[in-house]
Amino acid sequence: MSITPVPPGWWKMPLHKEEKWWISIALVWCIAITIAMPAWHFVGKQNSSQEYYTISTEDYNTLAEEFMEKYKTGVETAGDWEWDVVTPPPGSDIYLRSMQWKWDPILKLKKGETYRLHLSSIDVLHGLSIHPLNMNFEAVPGWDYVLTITPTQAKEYRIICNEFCGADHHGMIGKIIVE
Amino acid sequence: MDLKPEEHPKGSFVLVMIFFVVFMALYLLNWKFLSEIWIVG
Amino acid sequence: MSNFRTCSITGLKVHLPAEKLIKINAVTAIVFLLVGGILGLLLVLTRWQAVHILPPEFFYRFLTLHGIAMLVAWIIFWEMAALYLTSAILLNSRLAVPWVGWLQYLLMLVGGGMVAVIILLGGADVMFTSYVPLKAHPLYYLGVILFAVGAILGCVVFFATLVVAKTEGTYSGSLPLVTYGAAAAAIIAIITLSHGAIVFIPTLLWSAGLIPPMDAEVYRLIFWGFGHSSQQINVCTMVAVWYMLGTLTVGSTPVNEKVCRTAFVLYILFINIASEHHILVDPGFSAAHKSWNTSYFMHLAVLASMIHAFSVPAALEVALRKKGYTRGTFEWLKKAPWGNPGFSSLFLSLVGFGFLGGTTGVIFGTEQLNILSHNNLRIPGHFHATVVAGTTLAFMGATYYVLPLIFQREVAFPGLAKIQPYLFGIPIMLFSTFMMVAGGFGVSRRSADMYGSGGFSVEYSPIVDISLSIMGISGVVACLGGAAFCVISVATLIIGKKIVAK
Repeated sequence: MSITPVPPGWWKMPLHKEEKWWISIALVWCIAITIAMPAWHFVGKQNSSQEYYTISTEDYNTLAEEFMEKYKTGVETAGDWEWDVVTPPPGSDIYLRSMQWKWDPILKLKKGETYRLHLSSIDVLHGLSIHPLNMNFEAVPGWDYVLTITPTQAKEYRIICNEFCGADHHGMIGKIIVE
Repeated sequence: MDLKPEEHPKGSFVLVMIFFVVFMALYLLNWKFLSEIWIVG
Repeated sequence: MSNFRTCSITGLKVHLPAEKLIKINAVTAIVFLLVGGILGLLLVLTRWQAVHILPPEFFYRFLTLHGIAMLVAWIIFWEMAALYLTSAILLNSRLAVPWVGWLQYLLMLVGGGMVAVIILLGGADVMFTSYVPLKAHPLYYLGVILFAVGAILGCVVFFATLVVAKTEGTYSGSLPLVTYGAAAAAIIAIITLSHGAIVFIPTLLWSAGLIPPMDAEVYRLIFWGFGHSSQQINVCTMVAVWYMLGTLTVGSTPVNEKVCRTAFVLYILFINIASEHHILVDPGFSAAHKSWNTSYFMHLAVLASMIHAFSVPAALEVALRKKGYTRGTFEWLKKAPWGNPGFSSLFLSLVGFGFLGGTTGVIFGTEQLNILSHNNLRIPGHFHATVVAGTTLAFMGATYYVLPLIFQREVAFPGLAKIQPYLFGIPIMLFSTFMMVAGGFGVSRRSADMYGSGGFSVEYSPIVDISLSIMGISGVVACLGGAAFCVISVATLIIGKKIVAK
């Protein structure tokens, strides 16, 4: 019984065949799912990036604003907010800035082209969530996270924030346009 | 414990095998979903 | 000198000071369950957008308190009761240093109370994770530290009691499996609660204006050294409770003690390693580091769970087959005591934790698959399957035995008790499933609204609305099932027929 002390000798008890089979199957499965992760780095095209740098929030903000200034092609407004629309050349370093409570700029990207997307926050943690892809990464103040991305479909994507960041967390929104 | 043939936990084995198949299916399905988003690394 | 009574049902010697501590921790646990449950009802009626009852400020406030009340308070208070029961009572022993047990209770009560009050006063709208640089009032962090220290003391009393029982020879042979499992849980608990105390001390000092803030990513790493491992205390305890309920409901014995005990050892060795599945899509760590850590060291802790997934039903099956239910592959299951709430809780908990919780945990915690899962509703969908359908339901089932055995009262409203596990367990599984479906379409967690009020609107597949509605309805019914449990428990203590020793 599981609630009573067990006399010595239980260690010597052999396994029954169902137990042997199940433990073997489970062990093979556990090894397989462990190998799957490094394997996907070689055979798969979606991995979490290993490129990141520490940076102060002020310095990141400066870099983001310089980027927006350099490639700005327009402006969009909605509600109380205004966004720069930015069209960077393929292959370039592009910046997304998150803050309470907005994602900017609005990026205009080309389908099939690769960009180095820099992700960070200038205040608290924010969660990059691109819709309807359901692609999610964390924006951390003090860290510049570089994701090498290639948009594969032409569409107007929404960015929402999915890391709780204060009073208007649910209203924090942005846009990426892929042409 | 020693078990007589009719006492062996065959039903539990079937249940965990069903669990295992469901697990594998959900797991593999998710890799498929992943392959459909943007290329990122 | 007899500080003991003899249980008329089991024949065990019950140490009266231990019994008092079990009772007070169990009752306090249920009070927090009730508070957390009422909040849960309001929250689900808000995420169900058709109803959308709470304004954002209260949604975030109540979500913070719901997390603390359920994930920390209800569960750990209940686990303290379980630790005293599995050590002193099951081993026929006196509880070592009961005054430390009372210190445990006081610290947890004061700490938990402080946290609850500060949250309700609006001083900690930071979620249970309180990620720096979000800042709460210093007393919030102090409250959590006091709670964690109290819980550590409870574990110390547990281990001291094991030593006392061994040296005083109150039992012979190896520890019962349930006590062994509880010991594994307590070891994990000490390690994880220490992480909690460690990460909250500098955070408290920062909140009080004494030191600069910690790096946000460092906080996340150490917090989750507390945060996830604290949930694994619950897994370990739940598994121990499963074996206990098997014995109490059908008289089962583990088929192979070596297999079960080795699986618990795997938990101890590897469960504390894995906090990084919370930071898989964060900067700061290499892929090699993340995947090694997220796999709980080559998924060996997952292997342990998969072993129990067979051993627990196998023990039930063998016990029922020995009673004569040997026809076909599943007669034992059909003829099992489904009308016994201890049994139905056990089995539903097993299914909910295994099929819904365990599988999704491994999947969402896979390094790359996390890109699709991080911070959307898939995550709370997963953990409601593990912590609610799994752990909470198992604890409820065990409570149906604690009430007659420790409180010495017959369970009140037995007709309601019979259906309560179904009324709670099945809706929670539906709630969890459809929450995960909505999350799969990207619906964010911890969000008071989902259509974007800041400017552009966000659109979702029509499946999302359907899923959220099913989630909403199931959530409401589950809250009723949970309320039924609280009503039965409280009523038992007040009007339940006293069991008199014969």
